[in-house]
Amino acid sequence: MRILVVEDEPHLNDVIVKKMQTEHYSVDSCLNGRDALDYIEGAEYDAIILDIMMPKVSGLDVLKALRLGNDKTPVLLLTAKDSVEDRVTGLDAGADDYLVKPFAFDELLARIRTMLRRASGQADNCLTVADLQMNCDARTVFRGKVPITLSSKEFSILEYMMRNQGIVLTRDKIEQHIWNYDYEGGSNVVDVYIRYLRKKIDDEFTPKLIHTVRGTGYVLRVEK
Amino acid sequence: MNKLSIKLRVTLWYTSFMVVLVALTLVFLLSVSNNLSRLAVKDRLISDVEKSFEEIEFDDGELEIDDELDFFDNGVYLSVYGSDGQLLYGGMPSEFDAAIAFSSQELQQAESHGQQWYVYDYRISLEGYGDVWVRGIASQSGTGSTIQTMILLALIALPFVVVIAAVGGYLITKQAFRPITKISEAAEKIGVGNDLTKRIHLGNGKDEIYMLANTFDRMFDRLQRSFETEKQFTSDASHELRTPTSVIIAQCEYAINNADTLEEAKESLTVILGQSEKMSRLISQLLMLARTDKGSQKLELELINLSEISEIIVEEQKIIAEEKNISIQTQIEPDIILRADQTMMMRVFINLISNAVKYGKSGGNVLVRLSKDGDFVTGAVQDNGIGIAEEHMAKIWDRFFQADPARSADEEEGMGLGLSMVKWIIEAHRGTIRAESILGEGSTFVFKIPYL
Repeated sequence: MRILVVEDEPHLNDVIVKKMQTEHYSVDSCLNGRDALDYIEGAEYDAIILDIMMPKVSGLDVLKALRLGNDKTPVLLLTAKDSVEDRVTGLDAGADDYLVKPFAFDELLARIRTMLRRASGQADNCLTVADLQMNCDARTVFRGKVPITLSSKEFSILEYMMRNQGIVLTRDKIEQHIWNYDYEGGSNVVDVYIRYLRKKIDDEFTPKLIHTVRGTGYVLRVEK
Repeated sequence: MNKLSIKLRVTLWYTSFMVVLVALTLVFLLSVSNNLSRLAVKDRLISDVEKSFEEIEFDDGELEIDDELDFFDNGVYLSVYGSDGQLLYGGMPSEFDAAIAFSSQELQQAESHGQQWYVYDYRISLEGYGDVWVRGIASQSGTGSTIQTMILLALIALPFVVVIAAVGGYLITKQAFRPITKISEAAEKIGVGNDLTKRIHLGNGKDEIYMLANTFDRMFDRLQRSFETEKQFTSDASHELRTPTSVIIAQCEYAINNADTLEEAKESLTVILGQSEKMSRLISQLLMLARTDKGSQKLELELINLSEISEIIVEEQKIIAEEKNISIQTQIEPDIILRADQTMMMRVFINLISNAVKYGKSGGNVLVRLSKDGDFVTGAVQDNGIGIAEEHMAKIWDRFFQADPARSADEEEGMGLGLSMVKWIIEAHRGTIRAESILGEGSTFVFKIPYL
């Protein structure tokens, strides 16, 4: 899951990024609204953490621009403004959640998980396709009753595919959601990861879940 | 003060310090010696006067004075008076003419001819004669000549010491600062003239200044090298970007002016897409290399099964190898698990194996080995392809280096960045990588990374 952190206070920005990274999100960050718009245009994010009061372009303007362009990426407003009026303005402008500074990291993380869950239409933090089960909180994966060990990137790729089950994902799209701007994976790295994932979750099990769509990409679904 | 040079400031500082020190010494010396000499004069005066009775006697109606009595002894003048104040024996110093009343056993001070004198009287009663006065006179300053000589010597010598120390110190600091002047001149020339080849060249020496100069020279070496690679890199990068750009422009112009059917236009678009993708890949790789240069590229370390990963990559690469009729064999020790960045290690294998395939001969072989020996994991990719010429061996790790640029111009990944990335990744994992090759017979790349 790839997340954009927009916060103009460098130290806070830094600590949020580090915290998110330890939770295995791939994170990009920027310090003002104008950069945020560039980042959003250049990549697909699964969630955005947005400060309201920022130089150049304010968080609310970023949010409005986003929604005007029909971008439905979940946005959490993170701000020191805590009046009811401010919250209403923020939520009405298209925010999915609103968290007032100072905040507890656990709460921020829980709210991010909730937003991601809502975006993929799940009721809880578990994803299921056939007998493949993923618990996003505990970061465990089971095929039937067999536990499967995955590296952090493998987990992220599988999570992304399970959240978008039935949808064909191109290599580029997978790369965009798994790696941040700091890394250039190269599309053949995605192929290697998918091959490895198949070995781990499909080789010894039926039905096969990961399928190659020739010339396009990959899809996770139960083939009829 | 700050406008003066350091040489002058240092010299001024300790010269003034020494002047103060010398002045204090002299004042101290003078006061102590004065006191001492005064004390000595007083003691001698009193003892001389008191000793003199033993020499004075009244015998047979005559006053007898022993020959041993010295009327002038080491600055003390003695004289004997009758009770009526009449001088009987001895004399007074010629510079002394003050009239002072007799007062027994009391040290008196008097001034005469601009000098300070001590006067000490003593009354003796001689049987049958009456009272006799003995008077001693001594100059307060005119005595203790050795002490005075010493002070005189100090007064002359100490200023000389100060002058010698000042001049000597100035010369030594000047000497010490000469290399600094040289260093600043060299730095000035590099700064103003943009001439990175300039060096200080102070030669060999052991003191701090020589060390500084040598450090500067080494820094200039590094700067020059890094500027040159930077220049080379920029020119290579722009060259690599120019090629696809010109293809795109040419295809666009052709399509606009000459394509009559959608089919033809689509053909051009396909070429343009391919070239754009190539550019995009190049830009991403350049970005990553720039980040590795800045040191901001971080490794995501976790426990990974390197054996499985290499097997998977071999399977993946076999698809491409088969097209070139090249077979890939493996000697991979199972379950080598170590802490490393999974994606980065994938890159290492992908780049090395795809290179081996790319420069392989049709019908050739590629051998991928992975083993654990001692504290290291050793990986090797060996091919029997075209090999690398000896003169190119040192350059293969350089960015954009390609032995034969024409050869890979139409290949997708052939941009000469792969090996420099591999080297960076291995070194970031605290490992080493080397290459062996014989032109026409094949190449072997061997890397070692510490097993944790």
